[in-house]
Amino acid sequence: MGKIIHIANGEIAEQMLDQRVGSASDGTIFPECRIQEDLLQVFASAAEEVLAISYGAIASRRESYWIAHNPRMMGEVTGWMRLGGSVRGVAAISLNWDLARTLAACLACMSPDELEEIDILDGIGELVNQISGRARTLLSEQGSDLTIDLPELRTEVGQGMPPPTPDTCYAVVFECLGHRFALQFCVEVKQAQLRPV
Amino acid sequence: MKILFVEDSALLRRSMVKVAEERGFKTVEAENGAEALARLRKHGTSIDVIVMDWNMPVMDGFAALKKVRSNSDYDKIPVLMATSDGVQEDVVMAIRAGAAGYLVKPFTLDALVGKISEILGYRPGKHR
Repeated sequence: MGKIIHIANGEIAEQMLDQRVGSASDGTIFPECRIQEDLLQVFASAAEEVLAISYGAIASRRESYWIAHNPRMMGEVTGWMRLGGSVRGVAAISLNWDLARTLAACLACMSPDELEEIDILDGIGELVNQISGRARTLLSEQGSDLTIDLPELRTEVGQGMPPPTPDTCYAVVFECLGHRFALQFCVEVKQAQLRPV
Repeated sequence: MKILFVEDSALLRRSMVKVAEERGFKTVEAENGAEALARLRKHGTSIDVIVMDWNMPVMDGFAALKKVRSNSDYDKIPVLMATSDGVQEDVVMAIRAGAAGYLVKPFTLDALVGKISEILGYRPGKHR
């Protein structure tokens, strides 16, 4: 049995889901394969950098998970961006409301209590915008053909990833200011670029 | 010295305004390129520098930059692009279009004020 991890209300809640074994029918990512390490590193570095410089917050990597069978957005506030080029799919940053409020307050140089919901979404929208911009810059410096669309926000736990997404998703969980957030990658990698574990 | 901040994130714009005012600058705000042009029509050359984001709704920062540079009433006002877009081709494009400087997010507010001061040739205590 596989696991899916939800990040909500400052706690980690675990649910057991059936995990699909073996490959998907059209050559999309195999559950037992890793997505390209370079792509993960780019987004993780971008997130750590933006949080440290723009928000004054340190993010530390914790666990990594494969989520199989109908991947969902893990947190209460999710910023996602569509990827294109040699890798096709979605990258998402997912966090809970408490962390979103705290980070928005850091950006605004205000107390968290002073913020309305619209301010929090503004702050997280700017966070995702800066992460995607930084990732785009790093990828262009590497000569990558990957494209990153402008990000969007969602505010429901467990919402499905926007299409086109394969059946599996790779999540990296970070800790930041006493809360957890996740980077999620739901990508299709061209067959020639698949690397077995 | 008066700064026009053009940024669609109200939260970020608010913090940029706050730190600039703490350093003795006067400020004007706009949330997109079209509003920036409206502010320029109102405030004219009393604005000493424009800090411009790129990706904004209604009118983006690059389009607004070109409009500012092509208007003889404002074409002497320096424009500092402050944006998450750090792709080299875009930086070159903005400089060729007349941007006085280019600052890529993420940046600290101290770095922003430092860059503004550098563009203005500003020294502490020397402001109107």
